[in-house]
Amino acid sequence: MQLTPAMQQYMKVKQEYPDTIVLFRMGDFYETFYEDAKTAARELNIVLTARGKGETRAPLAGIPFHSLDQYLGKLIKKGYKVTIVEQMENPKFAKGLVKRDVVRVITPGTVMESNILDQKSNNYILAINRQGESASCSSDTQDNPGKQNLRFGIALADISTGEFLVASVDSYDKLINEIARYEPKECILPISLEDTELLSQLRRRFTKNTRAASDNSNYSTNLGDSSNVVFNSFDDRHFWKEAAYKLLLEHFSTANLLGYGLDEQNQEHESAINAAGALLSYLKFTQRTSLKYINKIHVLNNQEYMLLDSATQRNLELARNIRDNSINSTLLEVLDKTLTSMGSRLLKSWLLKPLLKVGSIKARQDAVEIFFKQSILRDDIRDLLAKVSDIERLISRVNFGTANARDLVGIKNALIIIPEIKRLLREVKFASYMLTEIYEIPELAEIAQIIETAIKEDAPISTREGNIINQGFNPELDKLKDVSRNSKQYIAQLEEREKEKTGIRSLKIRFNNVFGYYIEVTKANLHLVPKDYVRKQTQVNSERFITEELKEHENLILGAEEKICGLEYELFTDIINKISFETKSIQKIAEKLSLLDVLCSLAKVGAENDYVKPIVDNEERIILHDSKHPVIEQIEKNFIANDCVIDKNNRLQIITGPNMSGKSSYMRQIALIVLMAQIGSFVPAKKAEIGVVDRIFTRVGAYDDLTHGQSTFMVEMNETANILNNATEKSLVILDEIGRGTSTFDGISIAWAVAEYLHEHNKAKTLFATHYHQLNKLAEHLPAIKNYNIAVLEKENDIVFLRKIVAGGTDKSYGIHVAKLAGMPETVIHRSKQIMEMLEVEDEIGDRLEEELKEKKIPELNNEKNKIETKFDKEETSNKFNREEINKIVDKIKKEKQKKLLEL
Amino acid sequence: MPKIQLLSDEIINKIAAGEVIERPANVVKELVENALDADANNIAVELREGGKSYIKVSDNGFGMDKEDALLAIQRHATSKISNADDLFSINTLGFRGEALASIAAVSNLALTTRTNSGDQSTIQNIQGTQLKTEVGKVTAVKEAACNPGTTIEVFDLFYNTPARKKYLKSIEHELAAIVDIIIRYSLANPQVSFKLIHNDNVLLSSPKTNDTLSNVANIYGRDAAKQLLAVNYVRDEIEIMGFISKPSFTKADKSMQSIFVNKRFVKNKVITDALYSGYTTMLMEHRHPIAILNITIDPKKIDVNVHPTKSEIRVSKETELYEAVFEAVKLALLTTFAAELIPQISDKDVKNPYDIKMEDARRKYALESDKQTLLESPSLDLSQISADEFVNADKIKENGVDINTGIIIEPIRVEMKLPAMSVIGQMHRTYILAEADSGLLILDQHAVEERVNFEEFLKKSNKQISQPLLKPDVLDLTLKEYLLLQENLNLFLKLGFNLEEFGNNTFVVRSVPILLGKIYTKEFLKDVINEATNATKLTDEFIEHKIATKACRASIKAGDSLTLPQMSELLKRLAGCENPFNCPHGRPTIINMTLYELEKKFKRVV
Repeated sequence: MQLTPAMQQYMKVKQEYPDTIVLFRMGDFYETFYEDAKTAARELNIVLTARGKGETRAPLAGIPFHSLDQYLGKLIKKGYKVTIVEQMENPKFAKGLVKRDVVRVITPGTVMESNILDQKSNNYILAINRQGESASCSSDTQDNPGKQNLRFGIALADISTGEFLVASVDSYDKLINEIARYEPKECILPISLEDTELLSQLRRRFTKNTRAASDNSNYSTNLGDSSNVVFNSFDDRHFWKEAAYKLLLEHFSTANLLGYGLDEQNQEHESAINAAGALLSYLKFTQRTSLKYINKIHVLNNQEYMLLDSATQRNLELARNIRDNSINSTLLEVLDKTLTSMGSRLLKSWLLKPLLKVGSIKARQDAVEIFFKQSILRDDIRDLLAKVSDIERLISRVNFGTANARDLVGIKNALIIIPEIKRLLREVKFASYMLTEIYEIPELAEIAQIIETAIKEDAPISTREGNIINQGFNPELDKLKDVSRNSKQYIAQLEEREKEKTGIRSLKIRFNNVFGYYIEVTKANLHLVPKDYVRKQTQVNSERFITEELKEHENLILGAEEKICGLEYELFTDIINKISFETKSIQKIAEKLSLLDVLCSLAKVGAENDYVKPIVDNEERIILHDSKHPVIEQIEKNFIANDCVIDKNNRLQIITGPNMSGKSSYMRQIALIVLMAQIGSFVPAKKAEIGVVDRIFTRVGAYDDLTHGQSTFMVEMNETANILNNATEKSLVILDEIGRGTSTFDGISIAWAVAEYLHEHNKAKTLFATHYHQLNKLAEHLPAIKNYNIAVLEKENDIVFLRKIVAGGTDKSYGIHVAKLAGMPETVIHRSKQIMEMLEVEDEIGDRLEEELKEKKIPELNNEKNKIETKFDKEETSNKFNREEINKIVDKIKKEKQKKLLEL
Repeated sequence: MPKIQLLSDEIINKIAAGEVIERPANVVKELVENALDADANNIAVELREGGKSYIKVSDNGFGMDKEDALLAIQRHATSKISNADDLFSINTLGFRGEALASIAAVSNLALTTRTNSGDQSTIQNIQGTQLKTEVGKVTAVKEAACNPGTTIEVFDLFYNTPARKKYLKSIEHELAAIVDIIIRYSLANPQVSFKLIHNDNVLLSSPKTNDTLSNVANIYGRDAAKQLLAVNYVRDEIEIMGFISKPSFTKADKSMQSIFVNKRFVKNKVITDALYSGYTTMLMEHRHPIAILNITIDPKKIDVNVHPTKSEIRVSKETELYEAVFEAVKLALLTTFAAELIPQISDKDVKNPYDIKMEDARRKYALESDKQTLLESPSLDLSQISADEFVNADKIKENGVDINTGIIIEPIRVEMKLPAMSVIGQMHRTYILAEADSGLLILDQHAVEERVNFEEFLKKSNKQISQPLLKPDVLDLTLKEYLLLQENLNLFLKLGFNLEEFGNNTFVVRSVPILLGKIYTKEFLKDVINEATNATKLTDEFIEHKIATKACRASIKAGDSLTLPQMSELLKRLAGCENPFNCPHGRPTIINMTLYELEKKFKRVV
């Protein structure tokens, strides 16, 4: 098959980038061919046509070049990779085949276009590198021998902001947590992992059925809506240590990575380095630019940030709510009153990475306090911040080469408020370390000056069509504009002269895109037309002519205009380079302004909602006075405040009480407040003393994960296992109704045993809500367990939920009361009460259990190293109480009851 | 023949209610005062239809237990006084034990309350009480879940007194009255956070703060707050704290003046007069300063039980109070660097954020969640106002007054000095241009001349020389004028007038101060007397000023061309004046433009 030279050119590109859709620039269109064309036509709803004839007939679908961003968005959102092939020279001057080259490969994780990006979120791409043995990758536990060396290196980048992060974790679960934390749009792994269990597990977990789901036209083209991760493979050699390390050194222009905290000698860092190098390689390969603005590596330290597992992030509804995955009714929504997109992104990352060091927490708190107290200062600063655009992303665009004149105006607008901000901060710059640092913000007055003088405020988006540069900036440019203007003036005056000369009163000089300037004469006057007029076009009622003089001036204009466009572009590029030179400073400015934005936002929310500054230290206690749920108190006007006291000697609270009474809200509220304190925010309480927790675990709700092939109970056991295996005495554990997803006996047993384990082994601070009131008996034997319940007032046939936590256990779950309130038919209610009396077996079980407990000695617990298996294996229940025994007891009691009933 | 009968309690309540409760604003006022008396620091007010259909006031104060709650809605039951002596040392805002009963008598009311006392782990102490009444009769009492504090809901005010209900004005009108009240109380109580919501729109949200200026900013807006000077004054047993606006920032009405005595909002002429007098001639005529003053006096010295709405008070020692306020205001004006009293070229007018006009009332209710003021004042370009406009706490301290405690460390008399300047030239025969260190100064030569003449007249007035009139003048006066003149005759005599009683309501004028000279007319004197009758306090100063003001106004000549030496001379005389910054009518004599601003305008700085 003999292809045309253009098609050969195309095929070469396609061979190099086979797994992408190639957009091939031809004139005013980007064309796709063959399979790509079919895909594009289907996905973008464009016409599928064909090119050429016979054997070489190629299916074709194209989009106009000015609509690129829009269609690009659609393809990226659906998970495709797109290769852009541009014409590298002006086709007018090309001899033979126009030179073309790949300028960029755009993947879901490497998007720069602002119309596709979600302003308030980062757009991460993540690379994973695995080290160490492992046959299967399902929930590895630390105990399995031979997996000691398992390590996952993670590298993350957001090319729209310039962030580059690395970390390494030692288990699959932790890997999942990090992926959940950052929500990357794309994940790359070595090709060798392509068919492994690991990849399919990851796919199952993080990818919805992309193609099918995206057919739903309710999806917007904005990437922010999807929580889909696209998994792509990359050649293994990029993940090899030597290559990766070398590339990193080269890119960051450094002799070693110790300055960033990465030691290539250290085994534990190896996988991280590999991932980082591979990621950088992928980025350079696809973006084909130096990416110099990615100029530092941030190593994520487990000592610095609290590990938040994905269950907790979801259960506490930090940035996404459980219902519809949006930001509504989340903690982030309540706290985010930032005025810049970069501030928004920073706040989100603060929320998902709570701090562990008291010093760092206090540093943030102190800064927030200043703005909390000084509302005038705060609002003045906010007024200025409102004028600041997203310079973090703008400077990336400048470096990338995709910035336009408006972007520069955006940068200028941010720079000009800096002196004013400094002036406002002068009074308080020594009041807090953070503020002193912010005060050192670079001013870049010259850059602001240049942009101000050079760039028009209302410049167009395109950079090659002129109209960008102000008058008075460049003399040569001004002269050219003069020429153009003068010539146009001349031509306008020409009309008068020609009228005079020819005597044709109705003579007009007009302009159109096809002929340029021409003289128009009506048919009636044709006889007056002088000889030197050259006829160009005949109309119905007139004729159009040109003259040499006319064309001469026209060429002057055209010539000038072309030169103007060229010169303006040159000047523009020059300015871009000057700005690019200051990239580091501008990134610093972005950093400090977004920090200021976040501090003021937290202060404002705190002031408006009567928050208090919590005392944060390393003591082993959490004391809250009159605390409220930060999200719910915004909605519910009459939200009842509650106290909470947890310390070393009262570290496990068993909370009983009816459903709907507020147990879940209470526990979540405590967790949220602790988290808020550890990001440096003030908290909704009258008083708060919080000892730093190393992790927050939550096991809440009945989240059905059917799509990922797990049943409710399985999920529950998984999450509980995770907690029991990892909680320390510095952790905070929230358990809501353990044992609900299975039968009563199993449930009580597991709940009981879990409580004991947490008390004896983990010693974590725990809030344990349950409707198994038998668990109240634990408090009698285990010293650090205390019973609480949600106060309910019983009156005749009615109950009033007081929503206050009080000490003591309850033995009533008011389930039937609640059913009645819900409107169940009276017969059902009546019958329930009857059955309940009959089934008061549970109480007897409790008594029996207690007897058992007294008989077996407690210290035995400490000697056993019991672990709860994740797969609920009936044979291997390592609970204290043998299932057979329990069954026997229950049968016995049942028989007794039945006998009684028969006697009635 | 109609027989006299004792009225039933119900009717008594209605009548009494009528005295105290005339409109939703009264209800809100009473309930807010109760909340404040209960030591609440969080008060939220929710309204529907201007309060006509629904009012809810909730607080986090002491709350009540069940028995107290039932008693509270009875008449003449209160926790705030217990014997007659208490009436003379009232520390609380409410005291008559009537408010709740009155409100209940003319509405459907729901009261939900809970105390904070007792062991918080027993059910008895954490349950609240809710009781409902219809026109004063209790219809339900039950337990309820609620936070410590009290919430009172008033439904359908006046539904049982249709006449009164008809008298209510429009929603906007009623709402405006309530907004006024909430503003007053949140100004007086910065440590309490106030929220006002109308038809689900947040109109005011003022968080609690220790910084009184922040509080003002939260309520009146930052722009207004930046034009305020701090007032801190203590003398004997009177303490005056608050803010007044710079003389260059005034309003056309008194809407932004709030005076509190012992935290109670009041209207009192003595205080207001002293306020204006404190500004002396720095205020333009018919212009009113912003003023937020909290006066603390020994409760024994005032009688609050004067007016049903308790908004008027009687003061036992008026003179003391007058002098205290007068001095406080003067001191505040003086302890600011003179330069700050010169208005900047870029100053703009400040509007009252809460001006609710009937027509556009609705439009202005919606508040974006970020803004704390009801209306934004016309956007003031912040970059125009330099930080030096804003009174700096440190500066106050330097002048011997601690802004936080209000105690004068050392009383200092600061003279208002004109900055050093050299004349550049004259413009349009009206303005004098001069160069000073800070930048460009522009003077209004007429205003300067007036000021100079005025002060000279005053200086000379001590040595009044009388000039006999050609023909004695007969003054026909009103009774008021006549009495006033009689009472203050020696003041006029001191000034050089020779006046004598001449029959009923008549005086005869034989001679006048020589300085008045040709401008004296009968009308002139009558004018002065007239103005004097409107003041409660008459001092010779006052009269002098009045005369001087009129005198120099009458002596204005048309604009002259001035030579450099003439201008310098004029400026020298101005520098010798006590208050060189305003003409006697309050208009500024001098404005300036700093170098910085010039540079900005010429884009020499970005």
